[in-house]
Amino acid sequence: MFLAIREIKKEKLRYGLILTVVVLISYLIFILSALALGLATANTAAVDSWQSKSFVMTKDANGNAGQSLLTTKQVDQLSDDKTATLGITPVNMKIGGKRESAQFVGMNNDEYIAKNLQLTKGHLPKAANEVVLADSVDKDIYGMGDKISIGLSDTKYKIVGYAKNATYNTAPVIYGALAQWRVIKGVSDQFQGSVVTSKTSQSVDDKALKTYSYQAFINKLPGYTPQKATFGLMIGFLIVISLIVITIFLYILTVQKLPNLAVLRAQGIPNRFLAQNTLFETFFIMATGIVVGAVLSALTEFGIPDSVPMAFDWGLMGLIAAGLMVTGLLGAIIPIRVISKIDPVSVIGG
Amino acid sequence: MREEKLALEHVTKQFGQKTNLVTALEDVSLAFKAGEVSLIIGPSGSGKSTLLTILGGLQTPTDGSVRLNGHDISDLSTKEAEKTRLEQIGFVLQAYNLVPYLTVADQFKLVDQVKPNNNLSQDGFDKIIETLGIQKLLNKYPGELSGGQQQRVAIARALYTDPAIILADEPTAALDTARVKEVGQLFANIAHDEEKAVVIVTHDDRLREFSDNVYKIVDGKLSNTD
Ligand SMILES: Nc1ncnc2c1ncn2[C@@H]1O[C@H](COP(=O)(O)OP(=O)(O)O)[C@@H](O)[C@H]1O
Ligand SMILES: [Mg+2]
Repeated sequence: MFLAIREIKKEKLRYGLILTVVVLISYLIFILSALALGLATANTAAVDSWQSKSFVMTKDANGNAGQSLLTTKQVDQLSDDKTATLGITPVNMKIGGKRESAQFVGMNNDEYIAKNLQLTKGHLPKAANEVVLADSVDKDIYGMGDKISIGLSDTKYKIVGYAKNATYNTAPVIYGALAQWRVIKGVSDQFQGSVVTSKTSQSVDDKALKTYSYQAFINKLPGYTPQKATFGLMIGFLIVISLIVITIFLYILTVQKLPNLAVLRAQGIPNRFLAQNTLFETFFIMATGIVVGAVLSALTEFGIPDSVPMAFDWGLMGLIAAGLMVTGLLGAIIPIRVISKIDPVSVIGG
Repeated sequence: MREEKLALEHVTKQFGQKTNLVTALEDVSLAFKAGEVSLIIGPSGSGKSTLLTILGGLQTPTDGSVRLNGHDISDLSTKEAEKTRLEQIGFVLQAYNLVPYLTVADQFKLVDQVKPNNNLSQDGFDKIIETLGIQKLLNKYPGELSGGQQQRVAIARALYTDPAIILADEPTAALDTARVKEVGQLFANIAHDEEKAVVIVTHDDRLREFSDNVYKIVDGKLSNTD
């Protein structure tokens, strides 16, 4: 610590540079993870709010609720007091000249999903032409009591409330009556809904149907898994890059000091003292860099428009910070090995 | 009779093997006493640095033995040799003696970090920095000092642990004649006043007048003193 603090104080430019790099890398990693988490949340928020363990759909739909069509008979067979039937379909909603992508979710008011729905304002749809919109929509456009057109339906739907955490596959959710799903989607009346969810695990005998666990259902949301993989890969690469950059920096700094370190070893300064010093130096650089990076990320979150989904999770940030710290300390391994292998004789002579 | 501090007995040091074999030292026997400056003088490549590093326990001889305070140190472990160097020996080298990012004052504090006890007392320290004329340099970094000033700080640093032995390798290589005389006189004073065994290896003839013993080394062999 003695050497590290003084060296950093004396060599401000040198350590300023490496610190800048660590700040930028940790900032980038934090922002990317916030974006990844924001996007993931925008994909799954509604599904999470349903608090369901299993999702039954037709096998042909391949896990995509928007493609699943359950017959009345299938729905009747699956239903009990722990289930809810949903009619989910991607739609356009129109108001005035405006048109926006959304997900219509039809539900039965007497089933658990409707009962558990958390509204920030208004009430559940009571009549066939009433809908509840995601709280995240622009209320200047989609005001309380305004009428919107949805999908293929000729009905004008009246906004009677807003629901919390209502995004599905990054689109805002429109909650309405299950019977409207068929009209909006334009399918014949032999079909009753697209998904039967359950609070418990549900198994099915029907060969045409398939049960998805919560996680499997989420992973099947269109684009969700590739997005997650892309972000995961970027973050992984960044951590590897930071490992390489830190190793190179520390290595160069160590090599530059080698003659001095060799003299210190000749003078009998223990190897351990010098190694601890490098470790402390690394710790200091990483800790400072990570904290500054985190502060910058927090500031960015304030500045970024709401249309960019960003979510900060302190637990995740802590995990990433710990990962970066470990990476940095790993980066000190090579320089510490170099120090331990110094032969003091090498500087004496000439 | 003065006390023998450090001695080499029939020391041979070879590097490499077979056709590449280099004999850097050949059957060298020498003894160094407290209170004396010993000068080992020889041309470049004659084995001076090898001799000094063996004396300081940085290398072990291929053959023969090294005695410190009457004990054989030829086969010390790395750790023991390290401890011996820290406690018994002060090195003054040609370059890199000082840590560039520590002020002069901190060069000594660094020693306190690893060897908290038996270093110079405040009085002893004050006396030495006064003798060396470096009191005004305590807050400066090595990069702000002249070559001569750096070398004087290096000598103070070597003395700070209060070692029984000072080993110096070409300590005057970077100095002009006036400074050489100063540094030479300083080594003489240290040996005579503080009862240290001072060993200097050099090719600098100007240091002769400050030495109690002068040995000549050529091609790894001692030749007669003159
Ligand atoms: N580690 C080593 N490996 C091989 N040869 C060495 C090594 N150290 C010194 N030598 C050789 O030993 C001889 C003496 O070197 P040195 O002790 O450095 O001489 P001086 O200090 O008098 O210039 C030289 O020929 C040198 O090349
Ligand atoms: Mg030499």
